[in-house]
Amino acid sequence: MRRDEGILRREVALTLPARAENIAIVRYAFSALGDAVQMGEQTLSDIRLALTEACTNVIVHAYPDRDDGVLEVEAIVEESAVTIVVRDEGGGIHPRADSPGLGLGLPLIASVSDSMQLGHDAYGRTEVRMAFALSASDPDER
Amino acid sequence: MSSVNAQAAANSATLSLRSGPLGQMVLARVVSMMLARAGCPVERLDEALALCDALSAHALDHSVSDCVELTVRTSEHTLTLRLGALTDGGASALLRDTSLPGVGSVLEQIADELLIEPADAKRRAESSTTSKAEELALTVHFTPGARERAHR
Repeated sequence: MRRDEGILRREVALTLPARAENIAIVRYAFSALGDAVQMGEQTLSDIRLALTEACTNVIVHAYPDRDDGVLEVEAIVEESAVTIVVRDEGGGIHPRADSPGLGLGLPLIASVSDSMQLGHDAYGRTEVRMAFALSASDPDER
Repeated sequence: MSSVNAQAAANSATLSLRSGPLGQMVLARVVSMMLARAGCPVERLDEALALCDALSAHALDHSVSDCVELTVRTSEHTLTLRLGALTDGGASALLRDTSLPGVGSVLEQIADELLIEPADAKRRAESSTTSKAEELALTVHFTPGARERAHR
């Protein structure tokens, strides 16, 4: 499948209630990147993994005292890279002594993405921004 | 016999769509998964996806900005889609754009209910428009677990 020429930037954002069962919806929905953009299987697999980890972090950590929080995922496709942004309206990313997880999510995201940034957007929402370089095929497939 | 859990069926999602095929693909996957969880029969799910394809193919032509927002809600018997903000008259134009020869508007054929309403203030503000703007609301009913439905 050829990458669309001349379309420099394509975007879509999805907002869902921050519930565990919606992680599967996000993962399935954004697997569409594999159809819309030419990328190797490994890259798509890395995107799915990083996206799952980032969304899980939102579900587990962002809204400890409420059940009406939201999860937002945005995909930005450019000529040479895909950027996935996961946002929430929680209290920010902080170390937790009582964390129910192993604390491996962010290191895992960092290891499978080409770059990862943690911060806030213009509205104060917490962001995890993950970039994945695009190539015609994965190095192992050449 | 339907064994759909009402809590599992109840869900919502909002998509912000811009030009290009990616948004259409993501929308189709989101709606199909939400409807599958709601126990929507395959035939009706197919029709709902055709409706989503029609909406996403033409919505941006009538949007007040370069982005259109589509809110999807499912319950045990219903799918609702709310699209906005559209230009004044944009919803009617969208119905015409989605018409097929000999069939008419795909949206009107598939949806059980169709409503054109003024866009609410929040959506107009988000779209940075002070002019009249519209929203198009579509409702699709289904019976969880039903194997057949009457064809129109």
